[in-house]
Amino acid sequence: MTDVHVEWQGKSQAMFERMLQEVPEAVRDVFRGNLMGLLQQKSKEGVIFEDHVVEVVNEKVPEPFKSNILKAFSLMGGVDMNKVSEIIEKFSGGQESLISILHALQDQFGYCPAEALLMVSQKKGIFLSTLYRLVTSYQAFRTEPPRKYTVTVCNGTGCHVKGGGAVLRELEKKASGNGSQITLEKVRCLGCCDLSPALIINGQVYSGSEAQAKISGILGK
Amino acid sequence: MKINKAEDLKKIQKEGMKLLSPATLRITVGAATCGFAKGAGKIFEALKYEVKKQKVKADVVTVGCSGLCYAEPIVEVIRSGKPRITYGNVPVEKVSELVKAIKAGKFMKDLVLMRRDEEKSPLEKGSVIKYIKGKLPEALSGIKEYRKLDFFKNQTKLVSRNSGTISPERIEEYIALGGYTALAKALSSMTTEQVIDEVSASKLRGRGGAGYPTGAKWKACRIAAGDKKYVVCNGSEGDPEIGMHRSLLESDPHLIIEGMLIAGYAVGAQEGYIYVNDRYLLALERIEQAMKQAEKQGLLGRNIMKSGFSFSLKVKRGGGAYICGEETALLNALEGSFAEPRPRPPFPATKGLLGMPTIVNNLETLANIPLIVLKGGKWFSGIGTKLSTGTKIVALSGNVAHACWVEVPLGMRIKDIVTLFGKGAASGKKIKAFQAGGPSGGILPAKALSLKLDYEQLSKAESLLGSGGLLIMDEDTDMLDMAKFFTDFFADESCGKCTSCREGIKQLKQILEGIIDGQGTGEHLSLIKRMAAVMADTSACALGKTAAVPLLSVMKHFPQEIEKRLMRRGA
Repeated sequence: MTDVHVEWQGKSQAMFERMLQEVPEAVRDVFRGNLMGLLQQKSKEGVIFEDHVVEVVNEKVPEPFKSNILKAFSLMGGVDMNKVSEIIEKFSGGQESLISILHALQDQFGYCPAEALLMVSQKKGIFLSTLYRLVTSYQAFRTEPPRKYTVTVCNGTGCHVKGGGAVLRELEKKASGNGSQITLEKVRCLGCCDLSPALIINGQVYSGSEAQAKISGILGK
Repeated sequence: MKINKAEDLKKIQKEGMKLLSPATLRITVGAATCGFAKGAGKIFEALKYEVKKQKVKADVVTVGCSGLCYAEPIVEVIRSGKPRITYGNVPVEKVSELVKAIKAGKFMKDLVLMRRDEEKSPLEKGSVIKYIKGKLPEALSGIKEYRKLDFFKNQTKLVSRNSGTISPERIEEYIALGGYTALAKALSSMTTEQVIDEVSASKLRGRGGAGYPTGAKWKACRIAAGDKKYVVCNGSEGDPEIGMHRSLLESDPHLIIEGMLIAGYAVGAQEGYIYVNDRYLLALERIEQAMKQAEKQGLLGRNIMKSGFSFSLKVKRGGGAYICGEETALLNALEGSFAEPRPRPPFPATKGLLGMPTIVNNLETLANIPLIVLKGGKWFSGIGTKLSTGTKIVALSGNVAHACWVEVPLGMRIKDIVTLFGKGAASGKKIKAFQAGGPSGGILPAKALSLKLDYEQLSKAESLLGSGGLLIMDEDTDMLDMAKFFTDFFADESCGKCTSCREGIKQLKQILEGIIDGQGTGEHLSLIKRMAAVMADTSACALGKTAAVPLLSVMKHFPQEIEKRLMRRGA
């Protein structure tokens, strides 16, 4: 089987391979040949879109494999589109519901995934550009998934006066490198000025020197 | 049970009293954000575990913050007939020992902070709870009564009266200390005009920054025409300092709900929104829980206390933008739009949320309302100074020995606040400067500590009362670095709507960085002044108008620090 003339769009190839994983190994090659042929028929000039793969699954794959595959698709990239749809439905209304939806998305996924925003845009009839501006103009929202460690540094005035600026500069250096495991978040006040300079590492509050030790520990790992 | 009349409130009051001053034992843990940061969660769990293990019958409960952030985690013990004992900086390892002492009827000397013999309330004469019955036990006489401590002696606790005493998760305890009686009074015996008159007579001014008279704002909304009206509570609190709104919401959420209900009744609104800072998760949880309780008791919803007045409340979590402190930007955020200010007029009182008449009040302003309704505007106007009435919650942070928040009458000398509560600089060095009112307030030199904390004196000194933050800087602080910190802050927070603000701040930042690098000249300084004037004249909101204030104040009060870094001509 050859796919020399095929051009995969978006995640379509990954979806195709994911689909085959759900098929028992003994019949996998047969399926691969048949389904690939079908995909080529559907595609125009050999360009395969994600929708084509979904159509093939719907038409040709028997249950229970079909449901499993569609579920696997929805989880691709860590974004469960069913969950996104649930969240959008939970908040009625148009524009005024957007910030609550964005918070719910971020609580669910740790960030606001592009594919989720696309769905919000379609279901609520809001321009994607408007959504993007909301996500990027408010400080609460992230467009990238958080890394292994989230370090939240207080960039409030109280902490700055007590040396928070230096802590922040050092962390910025450490977190910026390629392959860094730290997502750095700057916030205005953590509400524990008594501990300044204060920062939160994966949910736990640390102050000044103990924070430094903790971070060195993480980076040493 | 639905509360329909004053007698129903009395019944719940009794239930709440039994919780606050129980026949057995009540152990409380200060569990606001400041407490949790220092391990209150672990202390709470350990207490519950130890109480069970050692078979001590006690109601272990979380309360809010009493302002003593530096002494967290705080544990308090209330035993029938004995004074309320406060322990500070309690380590989790000592919990077992503490419970053992409690069981034996003793106390732990090395952890004890103070005792409280009775509970006073601004709502009533005399005491509302007498903890102590009979004579004070000899063993306890060595512990200071709280009113003898500088920290409490010099405060006037009005809006923070319940903070740290009641559980924010129990409506009965709020009601026990006089909660919702102001609402009952307003609904049963006052017309909406009378409520507004009392607020006007109190001379209460907005606690957010501008200090606009609250009564006038309400009146404008009351007479404005609209199918619907809204009350919006501004709990955006984007200032980079201790969150007093956070603390109030976490410690006494029902107070805010009651204030909003009365405001709604007065202006003729049926709906209210509480806009809460996006990072205040605990505050959001507690206010939502409080709303559910109030609904269950019939204090929120339709036909409240059979008065015909209906009011519903929604909590909105913000998106995180400093500019939402500005009321029209906040309205945009509530509508799910971009946080940028609208042109004024029209003012929100005539055309606000969704185009309807709206009052936007600061959270602390609303927290004052129940007290004004109960005690009268005249009584309230007697507190503070002639033009700045009432109290203000002040948060002390920065280089201060005791980071804390306190409530003091307006007009108190700033120096007293810093020395009595903050106990001077944390470093033990001399205080060089301070800043009042958040980023938009100017940085003032130490000699200005003799100013009084009120709207007039601070604005005359080109600073402001603002949100009530007091930031302390010691003599090692680099003032140019502070100016840069605030300029960076405004560069981050400018919404970009007005060119003069967006571009102006960017240019200020570049010039300032040049000066710090030793590239500045005297001409740069006059350029900064000219630009600041243009920004003040042409920006739509206070953010742009005041963005240059920190830098200008450093130039004015600390010129020697700038001059020594200017390039010498010809060098």
